[in-house]
Amino acid sequence: MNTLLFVQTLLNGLMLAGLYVMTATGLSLVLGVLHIINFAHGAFLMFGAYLVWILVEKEMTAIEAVPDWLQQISLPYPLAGLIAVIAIGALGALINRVLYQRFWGKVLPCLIVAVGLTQVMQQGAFVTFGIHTKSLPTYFEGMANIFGARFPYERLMIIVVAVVLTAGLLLLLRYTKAGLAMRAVAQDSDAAAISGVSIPRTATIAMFIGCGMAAAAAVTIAPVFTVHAYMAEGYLIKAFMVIILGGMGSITGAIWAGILVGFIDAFGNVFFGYFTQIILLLLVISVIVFKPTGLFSGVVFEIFTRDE
Amino acid sequence: MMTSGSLWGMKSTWKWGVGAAVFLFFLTLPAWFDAEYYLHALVNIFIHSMVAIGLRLLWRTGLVSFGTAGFIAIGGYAAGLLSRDIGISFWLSLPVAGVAAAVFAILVGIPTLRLKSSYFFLISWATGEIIRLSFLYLFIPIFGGWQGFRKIPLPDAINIPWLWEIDFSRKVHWYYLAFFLLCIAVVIMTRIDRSRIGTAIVALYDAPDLCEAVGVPTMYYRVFAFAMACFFAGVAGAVYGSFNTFLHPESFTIIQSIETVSFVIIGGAASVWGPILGVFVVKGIAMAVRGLGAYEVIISGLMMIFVMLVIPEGLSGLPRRVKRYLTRREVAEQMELSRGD
Repeated sequence: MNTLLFVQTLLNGLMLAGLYVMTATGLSLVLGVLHIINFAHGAFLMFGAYLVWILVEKEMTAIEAVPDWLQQISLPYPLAGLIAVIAIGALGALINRVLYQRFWGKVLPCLIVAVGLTQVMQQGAFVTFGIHTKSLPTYFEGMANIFGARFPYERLMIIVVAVVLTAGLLLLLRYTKAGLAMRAVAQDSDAAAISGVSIPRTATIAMFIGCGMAAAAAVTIAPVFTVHAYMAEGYLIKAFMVIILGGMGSITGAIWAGILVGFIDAFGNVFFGYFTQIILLLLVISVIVFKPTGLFSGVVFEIFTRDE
Repeated sequence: MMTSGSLWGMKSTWKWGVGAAVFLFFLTLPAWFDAEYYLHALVNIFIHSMVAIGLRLLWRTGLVSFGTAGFIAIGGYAAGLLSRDIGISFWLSLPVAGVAAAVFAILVGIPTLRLKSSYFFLISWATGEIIRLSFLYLFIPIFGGWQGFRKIPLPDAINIPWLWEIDFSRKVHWYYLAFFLLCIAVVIMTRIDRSRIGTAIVALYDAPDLCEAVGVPTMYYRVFAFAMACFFAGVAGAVYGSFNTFLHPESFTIIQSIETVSFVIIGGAASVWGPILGVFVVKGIAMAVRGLGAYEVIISGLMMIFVMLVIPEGLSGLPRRVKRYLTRREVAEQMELSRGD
């Protein structure tokens, strides 16, 4: 393996790691605070990507004509991204209030509801936007030259956004009152409620941040990859792999595991090709069997010991 | 006298009557309704029902599998390999396919079924994905990879002298094959429900810790339920493969696994009839809105949410709920009347 390929793979690994960390930390936060498995996380991601596509300037494609009123909307990409993150976060908070709130602590029924929601959202997007994939115009044009390897700026942006957002999330959890409330609810929701933490409010904030992170991931990948209704399935299974490797409900674990999975994915694709996915799945199964608390379980919120 | 009264009393007779009527209806259906399209759809419904009633047993132990499609694929590929490449009769490869899926389920189940349902759903999902990817990327000369597994032979003809020759060239033949396999599956499942195992599984759902404490081998029953579910999935896969003469790994993704789960949820897991009702409702709606095929998944998703919110025991629990509501109102009315006096 020569240096150029190595650097290239390393950068790709970093990019994937950023993606997986962004999706998995959101999922892990919701899992830790609300004690539910948000299977619809990927669907929120997909909605975010479509929202960005709606808001930014659209490219004309030969395959499919974009309706006139849709072409009228053309916001700059960063503004569109910000709107998408906030809107999807709000949608997540709303879904939490309307649906998930009735199922807190009941893992299996809530999982089923989330699965139903996923079906509705994904197929709904499929029916609305059609079978053709959408692509966004590049906002950050050009290539970076890193040790001889050429790397597009928009991919570099994924890494930057991931680092900024994860750092922000960690700081928020550590130093703000809402973060303290979330950590308290994750550790022991009854004790937190006794101490005066509003659990519905904390859950809403957690859901807002969790779904917002998914939308942020979607915003960064929308120009790089294509947008379609079932785009999120791959990211969802990766996010679940990451939270298992990192320990369910642990944010720091999810970060380390996301980096690990990103690098395994990037380097595995160079060495083993398609078998990487199988190897990763086997790794995940063996971790569940032999060490269910995860490989990086500095803080495991012990979420599945009291319910069911 | 009391016991025989409750066994053969009014309620039981009524149930047997309905069961016999439904059986006769579907037995004679092709005789007076020979529309190829609907028979094809019914074959698919029966195959799905077989998977769903297997999955119901697993759901009753408090677990949900998101990898059923993988086990259907194992059954289909196993039967296909045996009948196409080795030349074993379909009738022998049918049970072998089921056993292959069940053995794989036991191998997966023994180390993983100890875990809570939230972990098991991920394990089953990962297992299903591994199976699908293996058929896609491993042993491509045999399994066909992206090309799919092609030219699966039809089952050998059965010749019933002076009556009928079943050579599986027409949909009616497939209809009866799927129907009888489903009937066998229903009989097996009702037997299991009424046996000691069925009782243990109900107890396992209600109080797993108590079961463990009083010495019920919970692991044994969980593995049994998973193996049974996968056995029926394997048999269904064998029929599916031979019916379509073609298998592709991409038709066994998580979407298909979730579909089978949705049948159990929507229909309800209280009795064997629940999942079958679920299949008929979901697929029936899909047929009713045939022009709008894409909406099928949306409808099934909405129904899953609705059922979980309103009637967690599934649509098959609806009559009982209505009855309870009516009696409650009656009682309330009588109380109102007596108060009026």
